Amino acid sequence: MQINESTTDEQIVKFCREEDKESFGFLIDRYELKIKCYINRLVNPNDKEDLNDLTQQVFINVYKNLNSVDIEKKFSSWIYRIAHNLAVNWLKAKKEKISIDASDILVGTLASDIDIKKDLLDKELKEEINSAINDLPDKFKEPFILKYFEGLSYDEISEILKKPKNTIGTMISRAKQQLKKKLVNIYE
Amino acid sequence: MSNSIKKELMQKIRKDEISMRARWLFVAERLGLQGGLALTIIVLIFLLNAFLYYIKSNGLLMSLHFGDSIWQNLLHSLPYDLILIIIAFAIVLNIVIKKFDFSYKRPFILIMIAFIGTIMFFSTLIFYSNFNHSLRRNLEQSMMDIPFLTDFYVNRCCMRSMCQNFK
Repeated sequence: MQINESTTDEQIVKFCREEDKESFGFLIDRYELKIKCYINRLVNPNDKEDLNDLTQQVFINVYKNLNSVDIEKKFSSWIYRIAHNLAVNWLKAKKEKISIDASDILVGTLASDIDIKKDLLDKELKEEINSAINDLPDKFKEPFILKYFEGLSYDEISEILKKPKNTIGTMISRAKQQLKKKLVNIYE
Repeated sequence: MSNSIKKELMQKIRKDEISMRARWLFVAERLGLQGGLALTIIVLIFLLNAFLYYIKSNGLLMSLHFGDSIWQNLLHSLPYDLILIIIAFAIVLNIVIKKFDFSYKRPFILIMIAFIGTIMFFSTLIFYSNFNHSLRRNLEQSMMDIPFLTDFYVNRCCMRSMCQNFK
């Protein structure tokens, strides 16, 4: 099988399982940066070695459990779930909370979604945004990060966090309400 | 993008330092989980049926018409060991259901209500069948002493225990 950009993740998984384990490299190419960024946002480690170790561990777990993948479902949700669980376990072991770096936040999208003026957000120092998002309870922060930083759909977030879609919607909505309250209070 | 992670991983894969878990393990896990769920449901159906039979055969609900002190007798007469076992299996059911993907597709409370409703339906069906009477008859006639079952059906599920409270 010729693997190219149009080959789906699920096709690569099938090929890797049944014929050529070398094709796993294609999955690493596709997801390494995404997973590393996601883990970095959740964990924000001081030591970059920890980030590389966690990223590598994600792919080790992915490879070991490749035979459990249901190719009728999205592979991306599955790999994000593995990354999420590893990151959360790492944080628990280190007794740390999820702490994100909002430097690459899509200001315009966030402004319209939480219904405050874009220029208010333009004035924000990076630290104020970080602080506001970091103050969110973890149960709101996780789906919020997956939606606004990873650009995932509610269906995908539901698969990753193993929560009903309505619950995900509610959590993101509450996250936005709390953020709006905090950011508007600072600048009004 | 770091090529070292990919390079390191692929080397480990080629050398078989990391290998895929066999497919049959995941199939066995899934079958085990499905079997565990089915078994838990079946056990709960029969436990609930046994509880209903105990209530009926001891006339506990009829006695509620006879005054306040009967409530104390009722509470005294309930099969608390059976109730505890039912609660334990309900907790197991809760844990096992959460292992399945369907458990997060809908609100969990609705899923639990559906399961409990189904269990109550089938246990009521068994309760109204001849099952309990047949089982009790067989246990009375049998020379074997089956732990818990014999004591429960032969000794505890009868009017005698209720009558003794009035002496």
